Amino acid sequence: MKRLFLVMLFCFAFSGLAYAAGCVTEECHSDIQEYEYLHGPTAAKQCEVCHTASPEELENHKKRPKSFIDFKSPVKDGPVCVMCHSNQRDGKNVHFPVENGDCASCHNPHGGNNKYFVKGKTEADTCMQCHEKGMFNKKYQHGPLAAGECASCHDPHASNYKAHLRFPPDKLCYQCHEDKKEAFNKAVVHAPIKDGCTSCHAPHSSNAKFHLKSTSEKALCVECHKETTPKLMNRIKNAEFQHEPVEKGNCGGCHNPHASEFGQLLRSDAKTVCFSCHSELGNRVNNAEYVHGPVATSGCSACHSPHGSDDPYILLEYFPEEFYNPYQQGMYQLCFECHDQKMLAKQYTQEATKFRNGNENLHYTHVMIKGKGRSCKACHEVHASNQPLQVRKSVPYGSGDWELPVNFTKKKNGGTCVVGCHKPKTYNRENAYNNQ
Amino acid sequence: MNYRIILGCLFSLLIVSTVIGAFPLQQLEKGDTVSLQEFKGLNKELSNIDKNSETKLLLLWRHDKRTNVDTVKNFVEMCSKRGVPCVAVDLQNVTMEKIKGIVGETGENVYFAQDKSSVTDDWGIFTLPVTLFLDKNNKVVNAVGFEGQYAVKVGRYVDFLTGKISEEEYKKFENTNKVNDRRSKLPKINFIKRLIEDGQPEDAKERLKKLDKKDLSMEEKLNLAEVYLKLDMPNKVEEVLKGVSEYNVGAKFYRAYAVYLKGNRDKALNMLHSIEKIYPQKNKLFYLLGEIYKQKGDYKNAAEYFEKSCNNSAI
Repeated sequence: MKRLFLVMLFCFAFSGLAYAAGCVTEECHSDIQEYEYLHGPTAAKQCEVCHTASPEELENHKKRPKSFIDFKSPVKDGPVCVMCHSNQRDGKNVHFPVENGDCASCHNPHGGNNKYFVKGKTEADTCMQCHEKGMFNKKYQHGPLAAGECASCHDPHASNYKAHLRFPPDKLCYQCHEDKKEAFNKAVVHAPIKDGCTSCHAPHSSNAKFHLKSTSEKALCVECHKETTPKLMNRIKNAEFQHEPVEKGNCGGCHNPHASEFGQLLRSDAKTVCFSCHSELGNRVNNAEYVHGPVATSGCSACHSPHGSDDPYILLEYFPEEFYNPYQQGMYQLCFECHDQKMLAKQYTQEATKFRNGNENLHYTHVMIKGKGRSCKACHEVHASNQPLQVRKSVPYGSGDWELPVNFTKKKNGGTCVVGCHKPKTYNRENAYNNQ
Repeated sequence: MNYRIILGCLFSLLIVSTVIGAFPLQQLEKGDTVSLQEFKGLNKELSNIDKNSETKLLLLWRHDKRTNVDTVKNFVEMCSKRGVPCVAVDLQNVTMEKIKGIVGETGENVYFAQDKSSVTDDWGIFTLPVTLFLDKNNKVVNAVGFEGQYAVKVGRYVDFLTGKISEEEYKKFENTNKVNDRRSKLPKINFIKRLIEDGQPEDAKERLKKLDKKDLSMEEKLNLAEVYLKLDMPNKVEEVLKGVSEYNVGAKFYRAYAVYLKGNRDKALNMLHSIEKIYPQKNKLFYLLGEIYKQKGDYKNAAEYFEKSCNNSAI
């Protein structure tokens, strides 16, 4: 019995071989093996594994090839592929061709120019046979799409996740962008991050850089921030004096849109961010001996509105540009948001200011002089200086951009100021100095 | 006469340097004690403050100054996320109702107070706001004036004072002078890995040629080393791992792998055994050890390590 079985098996195999060897000839099916990668049965010339025919049907086909080509599948239900391969339906969401058993809509059953025998030149070409190209054709394409590697993100057969993603949507992106995972551990995390990457990014292509889901970076930011920070958006839109990066829509120049270890999602310390563009000022500050408090503590926003303002130098409040100003209440409010306005209240005082000669208030004297009231920045550098109390090294004088040098020496109970060729003026809080 | 001038200059420098040091008060110094009981609590009695708290914060502010209002809001936000007692004293003695209008609801650890007895008049305040950091005995540890990124920077300092973060971690972000706008190359490297795993090594090699391999971060170097190993290019591994410390276990594993691929099994074994107890991805390490022992003909050790690499513990 056993011997009989072996004989029958031998005959069957031999007939199969003869069958297979006969399909690929110079005249017939010679191209079936002209692929870089061949499907196993094709490489072995075992055509009958998938195409079933009796010897008579085979002879008829050889005599009249075009009249008889109806080879049967050895599998009654479903595609012949499942005879060897799994049915690939493992998942809640099954790709339509797989559901229909139409493996050949994507795969060439004989072979192909790639390992999975997909029909197009690339994976993407195969997918685009059915899928609309519209959303994939925009200016900036996501790397895997540009490489034609749709299967990097999508399982082409079945998946438990929507859009046939290979991983849950909140984990997929981190398979490549794993450095972005650490965002969640940073001091400040941008709220949309928790909603997933696709709240801002189009995963296929976009007309905006970084595949943003909008026409531009600024447009995307405004979409949310017009609701969450309407006052800020109003300022950005309507400010008379615009900050260049904001005007150009380069929000990402200052802010990290994902997360940051610094406040306001800035890419660094505020001062460092500002000085990365305002480098000349940055150099001056970094090389100065006396730095204005808010400048030293990254408080550029104490005086400036980085998103735009209705005042020159994008200051938060009006500050006169002129050297001499007839004083009016509120004129130097920008400074008095931190400093004490009492320093201008009285001509004589013992405590409102340390800039006094005896009890004569020298701030009052300088600011309130009729016709020649000095502004704060007439004497003080607003950012940094190499003289104590940020006294500036020179002041503009006359026409022709001439600067009058100012030499200030701080002393225990006062100081001395030499302005240009004028006689030195000294002040002493304890014992009023006679400058006559 | 000359020595007097020199002495005068030195003295001036001393005075000036204390101001430059950015301590925002002229008459109060580090180490001085602040009596919180001198202030009058508005929303809660200040005597309720936990006396055992290692760190306390005291904010001096004025409700009529914009910078101060911004700061008090940040102060409240920052304090609400941390358990330290926080006292905010408005020097204009505003009412609690007005304060609530500014800051809204606050946490249990936030106290608002007034300076009824004008204690702060003697502290030499020349600008506001001022935030003082006090220790358990209410001694001044430090103080800061206006701070642009208050919630994060002051918050981080508080975390340091309370021991939540180390000094090293605190200083990491305090001395930045560079804007981090570097784009990571990790996605490109990971994509190359994916191509290899998908059976497309030729495509992977093409992309590898185009990859800019300059100025890689440590993580990028390690991932790129893995790519070279997957592509059976061990000679490139040491080149890419240049600059990565020999104590880095990840790098050591990849270096050992490369040594093994180049045929030096004994050296590879030594390297792998040196990290056997500390390399976190044990199954990979054990599998490689098993492979090497198998190739050496030591089937007993090979079997042991292969079994270890399959060992899935429930704990």
